[in-house]
Amino acid sequence: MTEEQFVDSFRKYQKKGNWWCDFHPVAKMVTCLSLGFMCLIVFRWQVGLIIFLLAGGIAFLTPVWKKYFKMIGIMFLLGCVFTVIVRLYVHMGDPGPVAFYLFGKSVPVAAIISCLDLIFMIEGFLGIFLVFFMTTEMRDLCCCLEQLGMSSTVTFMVLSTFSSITSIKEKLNRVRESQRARGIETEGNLFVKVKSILPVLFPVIISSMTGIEDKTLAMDARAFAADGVHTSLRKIQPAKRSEKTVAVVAVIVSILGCVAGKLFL
Amino acid sequence: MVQKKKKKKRLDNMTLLLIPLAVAINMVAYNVLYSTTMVILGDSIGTILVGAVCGPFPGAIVGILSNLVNVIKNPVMIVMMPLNALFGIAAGTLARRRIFTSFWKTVICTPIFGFIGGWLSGSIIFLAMGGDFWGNLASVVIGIPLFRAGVPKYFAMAVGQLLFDCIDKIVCLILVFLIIRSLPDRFLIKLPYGKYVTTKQYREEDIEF
Repeated sequence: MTEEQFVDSFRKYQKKGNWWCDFHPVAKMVTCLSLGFMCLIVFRWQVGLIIFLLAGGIAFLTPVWKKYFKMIGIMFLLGCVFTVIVRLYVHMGDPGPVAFYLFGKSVPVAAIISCLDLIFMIEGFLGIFLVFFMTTEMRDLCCCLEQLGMSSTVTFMVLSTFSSITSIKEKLNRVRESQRARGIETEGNLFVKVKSILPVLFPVIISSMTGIEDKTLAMDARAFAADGVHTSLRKIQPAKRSEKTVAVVAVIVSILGCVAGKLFL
Repeated sequence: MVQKKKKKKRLDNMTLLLIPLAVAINMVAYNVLYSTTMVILGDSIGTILVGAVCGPFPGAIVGILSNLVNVIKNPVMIVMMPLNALFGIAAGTLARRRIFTSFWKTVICTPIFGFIGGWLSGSIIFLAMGGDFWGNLASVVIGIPLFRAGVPKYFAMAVGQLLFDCIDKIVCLILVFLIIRSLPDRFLIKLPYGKYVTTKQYREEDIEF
């Protein structure tokens, strides 16, 4: 990209060429939040499964589908399987209609349904949130929220949090490598790993905290605390009527879904 | 008067920058500690630290932001948001009583944080999961065996959570104490609650901001 192209890219609306990625960030957030909370409130596998499939379908139509399915697969294996084992173990031998026998003990149908409820609540909620976070740039979302009246301090905190996580992880790897070069073992058995925690974690935290002073000066030099509206480099296209409609429909469906789910499922 | 106003603004900016950093510390500490020990979570180090050096309100914000970020990985964390905020409030309140100036005072506060992180969080999960065990290590190692031994399900779960969380919180509090002790006094006194966590005596008019 030439310098001229780079400068020109900020003169027009930020686009990625995918309908879901280009969906207005706030409308997308409202849609995903309402569907995710419906999943959490109703807590029935039928609702969770629908949201999970919907999230999968949306993810499939975006460029991040490979990453999404890999991540959701790992989450499923790690979180849900462990929970299922625990739930089956707790409910083994309970009275009620038997689904199957495990190690000579009956596993009731209620335990299986309880497992399914939990799995699809987690997967549905996680799925829709992953789709949102993987396809939305935080700076675009914060810019839109600021336009809607959110305080610039709050948006700064949110944006800064995400950038801090990335920078502190990089710093952690750098410190780990440096300590290894100084002769501290960071790989090996559990005891070796535990011993290496403090020499790695401490320098990262202390240096990050003391570095705050310089950043404060930089913020003051850029008049961060000055009164007035903050400017933004990126331009986000205002929400279209169709996008607003989708968000409103999602909220209505979620409210009705919560009521119906609690009454009939 | 002008000088006083300027001082307040500078302190606010430092707190503002410490909040995102503390959220990142929570995440990194969790990744490092939990992946190695499987018992110590360490995801409240940043919250307690900011609560102690900046006050209850910034501590609560760190707790809320940490949980919001963690929701991406674990949706159940959303119901824990008030508790993580409580860690920050508790740390700030305790710091005001100069708890973080002494190692033993810091360690003695473990049950307060253990109760918030163990008993209360266990109760919330218990209610959110429809009155059942959650698939974590505390349930498997302590909760379910106690339940099988005849202890009511709620108490079995709560005792398991409390014991496991006390282990986590004692490590977190010791780490926070060590971090505070390692930070230079000239840095600490620029923070809103810095004067409560440092043992150094100073006159406010001597500090150059």
